Amino acid sequence: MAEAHRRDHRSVFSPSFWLGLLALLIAACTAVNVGRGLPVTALAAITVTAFVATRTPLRRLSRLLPLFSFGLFCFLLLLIVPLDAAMETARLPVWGKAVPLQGMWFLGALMVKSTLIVLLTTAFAERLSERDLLAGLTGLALPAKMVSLCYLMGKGVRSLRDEAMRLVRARDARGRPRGLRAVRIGAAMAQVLMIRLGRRAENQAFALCARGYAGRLAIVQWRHISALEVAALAVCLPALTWLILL
Amino acid sequence: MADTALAVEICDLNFRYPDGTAALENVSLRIPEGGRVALIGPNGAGKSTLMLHLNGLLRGTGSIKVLGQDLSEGDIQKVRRQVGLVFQNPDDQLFMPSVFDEVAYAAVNAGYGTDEVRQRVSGALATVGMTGYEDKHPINLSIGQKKRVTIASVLVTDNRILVLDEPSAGLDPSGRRSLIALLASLNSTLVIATHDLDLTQQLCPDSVILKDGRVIRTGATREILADASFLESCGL
Repeated sequence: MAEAHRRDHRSVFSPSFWLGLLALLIAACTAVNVGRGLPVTALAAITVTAFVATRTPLRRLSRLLPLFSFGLFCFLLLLIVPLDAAMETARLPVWGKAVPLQGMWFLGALMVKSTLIVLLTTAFAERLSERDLLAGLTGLALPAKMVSLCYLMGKGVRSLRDEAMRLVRARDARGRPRGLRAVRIGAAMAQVLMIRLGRRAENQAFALCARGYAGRLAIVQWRHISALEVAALAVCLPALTWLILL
Repeated sequence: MADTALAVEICDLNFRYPDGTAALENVSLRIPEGGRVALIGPNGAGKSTLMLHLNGLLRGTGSIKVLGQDLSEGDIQKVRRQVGLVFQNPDDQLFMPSVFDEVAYAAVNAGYGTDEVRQRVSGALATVGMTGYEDKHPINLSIGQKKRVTIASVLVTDNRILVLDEPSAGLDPSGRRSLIALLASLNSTLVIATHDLDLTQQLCPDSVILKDGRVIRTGATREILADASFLESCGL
């Protein structure tokens, strides 16, 4: 009898190893002091290497757009929100306005770290399938509900794209709106999208419960993390710690 | 319907959605074990709502017994292992990353070992004609294939009752014929909500007609479907 579910032969390492490595790199990016050039440069080099090694197409860089939009929004907030004149803080003149230097520095650090994290996640996601995500999280012995949440959130992105595509197709079939009307239609569609996603999530919840879901998204037959891989991750931890303290 | 051992016994079931819509009113019906019953009604009649009550996903007022087990007491997970629910839209039902995992899911939750899960999955996929698709992502399948996978996902635990919501919706004629042949070959009690009157005639000797949340007629499918004026009055 043919094996019901073949193991993935593409990767030398298990999904749990890759997810563990990604978690360590994300932790390093979060903890690094952006003011220290060498560690940030090293992490950026690792990120670029991951991007190249996984042959991630450049169009995936579009995933940075929401992040940069958020950064722009925060920057505008810094411009708009009035500073307390009595507050003792260094200020930076930007377009005739006094912006707190500390705020700008914090925003800059946040953007650098977030960019690295998004790029790392994008690179790793290029080589990890949905099944790898579920198997990897399960193999890391995380709490079952956390595994369910992470997996279903990842799956939710696909549902979001699917529903958004259906709405856009339905709209375009009757003529694409232009100008201000396009903005109004887009806002109405966003509302409908949220409702449809809610209904889809509700039906998925029914489907889960109907087949005995009790907090665990159980799978069988996946590649477990080996002792060698655990040792490799254990070596990565002090190495990354040393790197961010350079 | 003949008074044999009952698979489903519903007495005075009432259900309102949170927005106040009365979806079911004083619904009572009895389905014998091994029976094949069609739930027929126009859109909004309450068919899907009634089906969601059969494994406790929705809880109304009134009494529901499934295989002798009162749903308001006892182990609901045990009932859900006996009642397989197949949704109208397979995309609502498929949530695992491969066909194998999708079909295996209920079996793993039921506590079967890895070898037995593998055997059951192979058996279920063979029953629905989807052997060889184990590694595929369900999202990449055609609608007919998705429907077959959803049916396999409930067959894997030998459910005694299968509840199907519009199983032939969206299928081409060939897919529809395959589905009818598949359902006809199963030994489980079948409860099928459908607008497909041809499917009803071929699969279900008994029918329940729902309208505006109420049961307005039960009886032999042949007699009901022969009453054209009655069907028209029900919006069918």
